[in-house]
Amino acid sequence: MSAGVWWLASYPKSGNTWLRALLSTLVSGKPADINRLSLLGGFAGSRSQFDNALGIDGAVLSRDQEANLRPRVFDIMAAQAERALYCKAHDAYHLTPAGEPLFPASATRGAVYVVRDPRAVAVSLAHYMGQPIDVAIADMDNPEALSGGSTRRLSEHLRQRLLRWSDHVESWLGAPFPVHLLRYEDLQVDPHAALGAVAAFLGLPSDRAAIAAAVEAATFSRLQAQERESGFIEKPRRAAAFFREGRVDGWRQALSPQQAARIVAAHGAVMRRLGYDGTLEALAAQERSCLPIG
Amino acid sequence: MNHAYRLAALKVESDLALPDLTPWDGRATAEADIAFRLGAVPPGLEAPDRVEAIYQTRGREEYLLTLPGTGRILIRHGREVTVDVERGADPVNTRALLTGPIQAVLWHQRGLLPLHANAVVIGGRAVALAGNAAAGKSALAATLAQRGHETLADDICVVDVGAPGVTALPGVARLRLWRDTLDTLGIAPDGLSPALSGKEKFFVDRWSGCGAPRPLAAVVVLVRRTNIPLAIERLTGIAAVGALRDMVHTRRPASALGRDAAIFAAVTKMPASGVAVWRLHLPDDPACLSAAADQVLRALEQQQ
Repeated sequence: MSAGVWWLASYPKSGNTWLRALLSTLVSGKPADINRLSLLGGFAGSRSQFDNALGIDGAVLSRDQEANLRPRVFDIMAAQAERALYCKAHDAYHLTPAGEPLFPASATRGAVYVVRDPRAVAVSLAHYMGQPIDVAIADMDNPEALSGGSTRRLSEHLRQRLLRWSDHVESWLGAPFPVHLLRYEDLQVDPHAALGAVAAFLGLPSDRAAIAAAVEAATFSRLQAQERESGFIEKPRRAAAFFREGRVDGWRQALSPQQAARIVAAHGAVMRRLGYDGTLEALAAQERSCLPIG
Repeated sequence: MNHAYRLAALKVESDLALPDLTPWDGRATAEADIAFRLGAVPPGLEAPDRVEAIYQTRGREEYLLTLPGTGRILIRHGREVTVDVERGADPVNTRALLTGPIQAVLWHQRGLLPLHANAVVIGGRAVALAGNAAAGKSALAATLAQRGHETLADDICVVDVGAPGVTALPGVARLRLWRDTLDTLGIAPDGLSPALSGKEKFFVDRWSGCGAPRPLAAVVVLVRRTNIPLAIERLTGIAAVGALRDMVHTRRPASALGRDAAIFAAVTKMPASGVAVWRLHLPDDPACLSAAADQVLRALEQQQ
């Protein structure tokens, strides 16, 4: 398999970790270990990856300098890799202040973009950040929204631009390399079919036995059990648990009708394009009747 | 040259003010060991051996950093640093670059071993608190400083394995602390000088010591993660050597400068010469710093 980076891209709290757990079994042939997912290829927003690749302390750089150098980090990762890398990314696909794509085509083989109903994202994000749901909804509609890059402490996470939720989705779906769209809800309703399509796209083993083993090793309850037993290094301090609920329609109880309406008003066009309108009702009913996990 | 400083018992002369460093207190006529000069730097080295994304090297003697927004910096022979500053470059961040990664490359060229570590003095000997960026080195050093353990070096601990023992040299003794750490330690940021521009990182001077070289007793490698229990473990053999090698500052540039074999020899000699290597699993929670300091002190007591 030739080297280069496959981006596993998503807005935060959209199923990226679940996808990586599934892929880690497919790539390694061993059951996924949630605390070793970085072996797949790291995280695009990692400060230590940035520092190690460039040979400099990124902390002494300005924000623009840091942002402008990030494409070089990905070039270095791709050039040094002995196999394809599967690298988690939360940044929107956008240009650096210097006007260059953050994710350079030269380092990139393609991307799997994981998308999740923004109403469910808002609830999950609020739990993850330890903030009220209204704050999460406002963040998802903020064109300047960021992840990481606190000015009060040196975070292991670099400053990542998220844009608005809709713009994040559209930025990746319009990227100038092959992008496979994966809906979190499809992964829940029929994980074998959804993962099989991802595996075929990435050129990974996609036979029935390999897919079944990967799905079995990464059921939500297994991931939850791993977190209970050994913790999860990607869980923020504020959150009670990372693998919390993992349901398709949990937002219906958690959001007020007004909150749900605000999300639809802000992101309705992209939601419709992704099927997050009437079809969700059917999805949720299907989930309740046949879901093996959650 | 307008300014003179002391760094690891050497005299540093500089065209630029480097307030991170301790003012020179030796003979005024002493010849400078290291000079930082403002001047023109060519865009590339002549016949470089290595060309990387932001730096080039030729042998062990020349390293050229090109950093858009800051400028070009050329280091030669571990003695001369020429700084060609871009118009509009931020002076505070340029300074942090010079006393950070540029300082580390200087030590590599001079044949010493810069660890990515803070050094504190415990029981008369040096203890290096090593870790990648954001591992909590300065925060733990400050916690120990509040208990009377003076700071020998912030962020870069220069180790000399050439003498019969292993020695830690005094480095930048002004701790540079982030706002969250100041809050945890109960220190008001009012009146503190900024250590970086656009970020809330400040100089804290109150714990700097006399800056004499000290025998290095231990290296504690910090691994900070969320959601892990606080724990300390002793590393030996290949694990200790590997952990030390991972903590070498600016390791990739050092490799380009041909330092791999010397670094391996140095990190192998350290445990063999009695330097204990510990790994501290540090939860990403400022409330744990005090308990972490307890564990480090207890581990060092057991070691003796």
